Amino acid sequence: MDDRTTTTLEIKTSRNGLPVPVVKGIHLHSIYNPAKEAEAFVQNYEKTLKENNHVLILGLGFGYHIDQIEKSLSEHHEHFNILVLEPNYKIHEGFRRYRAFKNSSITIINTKDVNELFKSEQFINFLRQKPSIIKHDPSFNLDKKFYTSFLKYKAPTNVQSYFESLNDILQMYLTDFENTEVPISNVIDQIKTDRGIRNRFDYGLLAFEALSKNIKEVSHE
Amino acid sequence: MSKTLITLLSNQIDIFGSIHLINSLKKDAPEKEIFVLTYSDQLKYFSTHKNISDFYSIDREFIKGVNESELYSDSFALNSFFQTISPCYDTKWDTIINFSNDEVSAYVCSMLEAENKIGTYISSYGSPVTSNNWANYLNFVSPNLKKDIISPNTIRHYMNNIPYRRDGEKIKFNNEFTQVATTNFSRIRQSLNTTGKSFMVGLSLAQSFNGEKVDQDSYIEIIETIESSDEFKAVLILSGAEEEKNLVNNLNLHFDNSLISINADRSAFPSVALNLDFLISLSNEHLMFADILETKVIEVRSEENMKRSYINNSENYIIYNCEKNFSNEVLLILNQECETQLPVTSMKSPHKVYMTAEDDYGLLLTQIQGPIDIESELTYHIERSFHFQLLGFPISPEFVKNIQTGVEPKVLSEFLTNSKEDLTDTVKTLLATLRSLKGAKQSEKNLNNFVLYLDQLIQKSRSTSITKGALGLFEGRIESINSANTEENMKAIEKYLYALKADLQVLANLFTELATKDRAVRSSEASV
Repeated sequence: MDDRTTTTLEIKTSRNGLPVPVVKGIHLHSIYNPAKEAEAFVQNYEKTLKENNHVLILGLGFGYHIDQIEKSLSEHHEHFNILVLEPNYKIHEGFRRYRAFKNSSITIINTKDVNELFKSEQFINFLRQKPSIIKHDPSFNLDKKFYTSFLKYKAPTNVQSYFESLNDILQMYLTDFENTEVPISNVIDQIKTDRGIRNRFDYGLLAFEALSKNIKEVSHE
Repeated sequence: MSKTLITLLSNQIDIFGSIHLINSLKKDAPEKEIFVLTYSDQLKYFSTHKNISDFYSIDREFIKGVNESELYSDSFALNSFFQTISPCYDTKWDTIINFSNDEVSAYVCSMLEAENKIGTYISSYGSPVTSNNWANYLNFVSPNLKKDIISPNTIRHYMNNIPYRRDGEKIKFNNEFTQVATTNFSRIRQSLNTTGKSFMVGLSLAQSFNGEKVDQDSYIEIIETIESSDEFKAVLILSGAEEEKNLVNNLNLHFDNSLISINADRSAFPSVALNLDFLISLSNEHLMFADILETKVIEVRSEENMKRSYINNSENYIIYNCEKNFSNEVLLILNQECETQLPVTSMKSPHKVYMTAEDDYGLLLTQIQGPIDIESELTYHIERSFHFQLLGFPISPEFVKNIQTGVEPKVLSEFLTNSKEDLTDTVKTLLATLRSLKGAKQSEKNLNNFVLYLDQLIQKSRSTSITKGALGLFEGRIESINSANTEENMKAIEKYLYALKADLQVLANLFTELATKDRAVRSSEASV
């Protein structure tokens, strides 16, 4: 069931006049001074933020912690990239209404589907930068199931599972194979054994396999 | 317009080495468009290449990142790879050249459509097929040699059936850098206190391709000697690495900070090299570029690093450095080349020093100084003649004469005797293979025996046998057999076994030729 209909988002005002989201009775930030709370929170990550200009934040809240992270990054780096992962639609909607970011170095991904997330080339390219991961605890605890499945995610290996993500030509080519509910290495083995080389895309897959093997050997060296 | 695709999926040595072939291809057919398939992280090595219309680059770093992590689906890597290749398979190529002779290139070459495929590609049976004997040599003989007998550049030119063209502008120059370099070097020459010729000697501080570092002590002695001469000037050449800057500081400590040093990256170095009379260098990028520009080079390399040849011009030098000071050898070479009298400590050398020269076959290495391992030298020269003959060249009378006049008759005779034993051993295995083949044709029970002998023969191509060249070519022919039919396969193998026999006869004839005149020389000496 979509949390757009099931979740209620309550907005309270902190002692110093800032909006604080509350979901299922849980305050996502300090009701006294969310900005100061965020400052103290980010101090724990000073070294991390100094060393790495790519940061993945688990939990949006109303972004006070993100403000501080951004501030710290801009002190240490000319360029940086922040990606925020937030599964709760209502929180995202509320944030946009009350406190939208203006910085283009911050991207918010609002999704509940971990599998879809890992199909995004943009997301993959960000992860390949080996970002530091910072957990916003109240957000994490609110959607623990989602964040845990994200952190434990392993890509499925059988070709059929990612078939739709393949280029058109690859999809067309792979329909020629009897069994694609196997890893790509097994498909390639079919070319090398019973099936044989039948067309030029078979050579392409064999080239891909040779490349993968070659890269692995060079890494070990 | 004819389109040629060159696959370069190996290393920077091949990339720099490709400059020669690309120039020759363009000179041979100026209207030809040349494209290159390479890796994205290697594009930077092409910054000075000329005559390339466009690049296709495989992002192997991305593919590696995807493959190494359980987070990423294989679809990303597959999409990335096929996306790069797709413009290549949509093009109808005139020629595809598997330059780097690697497995990925071989499959890619097989995937693409072309009128001509040069090098090694893969048959529909999954076996390697070579386009001609030279490609066969490159794939099946060269990799098993301890030392290049025929330079890769020579092999690739013959493989493509085009002459090696030294003329033409092979690399890009930055006009501004060239002007500045020419002006500065001109000033340096003028500052020397000589009315005669002046010589600019570059000393490359860059490490070698396999990580060897410059020997500081040798460099200090070389610089000390040439700086005290009115005719020479030392110029330290850096490629930009931090450790090279530290090396400059160390060297300058010995010379009151008076040394000239030039930090020249890949775009600037050609302009510098044009103004040098000599470059002393390890086996690195500086060496290869200087050689491309026909600047005289004195290469220093370790004995372990004997395999690859980087020099393509004659009258250059290679000093094999056994971790001892090589300054004396460099000074001797400079004196010889420049007709000067730089002080040297000895006329003898503990290092092997070679000069590149040319004969009827092309470029060769000839030892000019140092302890001679006569067996090793004879093996090199005789194998060289043998390999060229296998590739269609006639026996060179000049070569025969040089061996017979240059080698003591007793030593030559002993060498030929041992080599003939080696040849006889191979011939015995060959004949056993032929006999077992006949047996296998009669009964399948004998097939195992035949396979064992055949394998024994092929394994010899990886040994130190003087017959390994012929055996390597034989292996290449066997690998290219494309049939699922046993009878057809046997027929083909038999044909190649007889071809091998003919090839071994070439070696036998060569030994006879060397021995016959040797006997004639000895008997004429005896009669005198």
